[in-house]
Amino acid sequence: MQLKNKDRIMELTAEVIVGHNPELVTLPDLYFKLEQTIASPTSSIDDAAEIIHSDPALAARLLKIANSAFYSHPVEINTVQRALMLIGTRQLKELAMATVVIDMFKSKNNPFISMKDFWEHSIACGIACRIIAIYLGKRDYEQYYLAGLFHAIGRLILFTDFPEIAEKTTELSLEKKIPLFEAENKIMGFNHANVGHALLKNWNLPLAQQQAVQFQHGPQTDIPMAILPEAVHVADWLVNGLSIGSSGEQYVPPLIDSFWQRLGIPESALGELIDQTDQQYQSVAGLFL
Amino acid sequence: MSVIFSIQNISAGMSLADDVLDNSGRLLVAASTTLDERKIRILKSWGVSEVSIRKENGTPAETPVTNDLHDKNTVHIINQFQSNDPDHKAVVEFIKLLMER
Repeated sequence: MQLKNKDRIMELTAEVIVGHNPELVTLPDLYFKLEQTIASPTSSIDDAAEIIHSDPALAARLLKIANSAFYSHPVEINTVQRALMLIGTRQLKELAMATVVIDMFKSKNNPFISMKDFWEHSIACGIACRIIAIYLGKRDYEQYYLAGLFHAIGRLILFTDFPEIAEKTTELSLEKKIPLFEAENKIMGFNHANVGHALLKNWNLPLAQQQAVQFQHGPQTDIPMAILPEAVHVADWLVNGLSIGSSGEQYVPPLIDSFWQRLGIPESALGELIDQTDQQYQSVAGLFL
Repeated sequence: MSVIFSIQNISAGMSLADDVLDNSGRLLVAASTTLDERKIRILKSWGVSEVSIRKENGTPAETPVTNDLHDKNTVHIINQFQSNDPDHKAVVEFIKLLMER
């Protein structure tokens, strides 16, 4: 497929799609500053609080979450410092990233999906992915949350910046009753996962997160120890089945057996996973949207 | 007279009481349109969550709907999972859990 761009015909690739929108090419500095501060052994809560204060939306959200039922703290938390002590730096990373990216896409209204539905689906998927990680005893679970949170972000770019393509893929999906990513493959030769991967690569997010988004619909990779793509795949499958929000997908994407096997979750644990996902989602989603 | 229906519970043959608009006020499907499967798909693909349906004698709103809703929910779940292997143990378990919810 080709794209007309200022009299020039360009071959449509995931990179071209991401590059089409200069505002999305880099993440706001705030996130990297915060990440550095969190990683540095010499920085204090006050250092992190100072960065957070530079973004009033983030500061407000942090306080809202600290005071939510999720933490059920008996006394009102009214400073960013105290909120940070309660929430912890790992959760802060998740929260800051979600806030920054939701804000970046705030004005990206499109005819296919509401921002609310999209972020509901994405947040639920991040939560499900983290629950899978914790179930499997993974320690870097915030990595799983972020990969889940961003798994469908390529779709959002297609919907907002390339509506004429999105219209064709949506129609084909409904007409042939196939998952939307398969319709994307048929029409573009690649799918939203490739677009998401290109975006996360531009953002310099960790390679594991990039690959998790890239391979969420397969094929299976043999990256040693890494089960992040498998976790994202299963989290997306669960959240689609639960119909929490929407990524524009009308059908539950087919569960890839080898992905399921690699995670090694017993079928008997599914009930627990979906109950926990639902419960955690109910307690936090409203705080973001 | 009209009744609000969740998009999951509407069916072909029902008639819209009001215009269905998108977020920016653009008309998607006009009032008085009789829904068919294609129009229902369009409404779903545009993320419409509920619509107002004309209430006349004999519309589903006036009949006991418990079983009907249950059946529709079952049909909806099975429809959603059609790309999945129906014999896969995890798929079977997940569908079972969803139906119990």
